[in-house]
Amino acid sequence: MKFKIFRYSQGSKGVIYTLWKEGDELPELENALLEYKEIRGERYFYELIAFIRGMCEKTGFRVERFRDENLTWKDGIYALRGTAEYRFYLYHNSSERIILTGGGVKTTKLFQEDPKLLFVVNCLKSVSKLLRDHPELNLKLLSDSEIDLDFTWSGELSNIDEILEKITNGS
Amino acid sequence: MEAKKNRRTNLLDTHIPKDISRYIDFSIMISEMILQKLDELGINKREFARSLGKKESQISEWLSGMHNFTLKTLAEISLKYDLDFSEAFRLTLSKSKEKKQHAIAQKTDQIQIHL
Repeated sequence: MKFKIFRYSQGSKGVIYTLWKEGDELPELENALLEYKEIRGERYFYELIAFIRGMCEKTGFRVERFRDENLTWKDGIYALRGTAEYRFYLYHNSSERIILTGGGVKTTKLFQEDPKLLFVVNCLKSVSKLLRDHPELNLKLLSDSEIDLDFTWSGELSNIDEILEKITNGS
Repeated sequence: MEAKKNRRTNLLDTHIPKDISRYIDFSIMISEMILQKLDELGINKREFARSLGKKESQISEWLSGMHNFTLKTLAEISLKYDLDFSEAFRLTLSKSKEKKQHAIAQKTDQIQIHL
């Protein structure tokens, strides 16, 4: 499954990236926000929008604000708080940059028991690992160069060599 | 992808009712003040929770930026950590006032250009 990293919003304190699946009309974050609005109603939707906007414009993305998903610290994978059973997963790259994406309603005790949630978390983990293993890459570069990230069904990146080659060749 | 790049709006540009926007601004500002204080004192969430006799999960909710603080909670933190939360309200209100004035100034400029 091919995704691109898309710069979704930029404020004075930070940039939000999201994933955009090939062939989809909307990026992942937008699909999730619309689903969240439908499930929880307008009031909570507005609160969430105001909160995300507030982080972008006023505070940046302090890791203390996010729900720790009991993954290793180096993965940097968290979820937004205050969204009830709905999970918005994120990769915390720094206090100025995150990839915020959807997930869905968590109906199982552990996200690992839900294939949909597990896939999202694994995709983010793969991006996190890619950036850790290759310091020459960063989110801006991946987004600006519109490189395809090809994930397997388990959320592993299957085209790392191709990504590195494209970046090296500047295409 | 070009069409995607050219999208002018996204859901984060949604018009938010003023009361909700202000409520979240207050919550973000209060949690930011607490977080800065913890940084200053070099203590973590666990120690902060223990000092107030609360669970760490409850503190995490407070610091999320989407928490509806009660006056009782604010009074408790304010006393224990010498935090003046009126500053958070003042800052939020002055920022919103600045924004309003900026918008009025921009509109005035536009009107003058048209004239």
